[in-house]
Amino acid sequence: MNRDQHEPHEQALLEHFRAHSPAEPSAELDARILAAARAAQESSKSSWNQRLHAWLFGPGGRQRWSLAVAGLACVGIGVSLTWRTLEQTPDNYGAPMPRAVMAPAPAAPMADAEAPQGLLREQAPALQSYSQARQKAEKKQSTPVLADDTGKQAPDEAGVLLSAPSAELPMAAVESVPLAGMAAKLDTEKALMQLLELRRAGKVEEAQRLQQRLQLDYPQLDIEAQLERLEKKH
Amino acid sequence: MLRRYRLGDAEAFALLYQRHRLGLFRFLCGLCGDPTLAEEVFQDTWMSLIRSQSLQREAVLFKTWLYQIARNRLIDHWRKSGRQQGRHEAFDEQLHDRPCSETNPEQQLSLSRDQERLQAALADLPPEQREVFLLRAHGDLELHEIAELTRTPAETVKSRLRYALQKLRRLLADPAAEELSA
Repeated sequence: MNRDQHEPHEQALLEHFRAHSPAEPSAELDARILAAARAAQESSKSSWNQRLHAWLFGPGGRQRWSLAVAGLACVGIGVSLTWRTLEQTPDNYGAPMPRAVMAPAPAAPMADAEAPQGLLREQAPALQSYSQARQKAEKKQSTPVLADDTGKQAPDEAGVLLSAPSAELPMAAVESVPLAGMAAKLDTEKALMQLLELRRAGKVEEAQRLQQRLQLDYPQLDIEAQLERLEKKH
Repeated sequence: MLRRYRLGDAEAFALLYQRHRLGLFRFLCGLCGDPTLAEEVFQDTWMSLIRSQSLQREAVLFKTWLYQIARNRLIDHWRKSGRQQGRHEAFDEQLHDRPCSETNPEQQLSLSRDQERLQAALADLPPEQREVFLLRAHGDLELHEIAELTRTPAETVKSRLRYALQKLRRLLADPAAEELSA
């Protein structure tokens, strides 16, 4: 119903009541309500410290404390993880990273699944030792500082490689990565040795598979040249 | 205005309060008939508005929202104190649906200005009719707003207001009728 449509006598009666209703809130009540509104406004503007203090020491403080401690712990863990990640980042961002480091091991080709079980059994030890060497190398790469420390106490293969002249390293591309790629180079060296041994043993198919896999992992690696170098060396 | 207050404008609240204080207080006074209780509920209503961080729904007018809070607070108080709100539950609306003979402006002007009589006439109304009349008179709410506030069909609100107006006109114009009803 629109206001204009109200009957005149209804309006008159309503106006009459409005005009003759003396009830009014006291000035004291007005002041109290307005003061409460102002106080609420000021408290909402209070500083962050005051609000935190009120939140922690207010009613239900026990739950809030545990929440605050849990929150701080989460922040601590986050900061620590970030710091560790930053420490592990290599300094030379421009250097090409070995494929083995950058990406997980490629899935076995479809031919593997279709290969006869006997052949797979024959290949298994060679591939397994290759993948173990890779995992080991990746671990070492992920903790370069530790590798460095262990190298001082008991020089392992990585340590030997670290001290070896860069000319003997198998990959020319990897030479630009002085520390981060060392373990990967060792891994490659081992794989090349295995390949050489397989060829010498006359296991052509197995050697071919390992070569293919190596080529997949290290596309820039000149396998034949490296094999020749190894043959001369040994 | 409430949004402005929530955003930190203290003056917005003062303006809002000035705009609605009189109507709300008179509505409460008329509804409960007790100025002390009205003050208590009035203060409680504004305080809950101050403490609450929520804003009223966009679709609902602030005034409707405010009166609804006040009404609910008063009903809560009545429930706690165990007061029987419906004094006129057995009220026969048909009895009061008699045509009113005094509808011309001259007669309207001759209505009693005696405040006690006005209060008595108001108190003589059934609670539902009194509530609708007070929301209309002091809250200046439209019928559909009253219907929304009281959760009553608009037609019911309309008829309650009509009966209330008729009875008030009759009581105020004829003192004998008031005495009889008392």
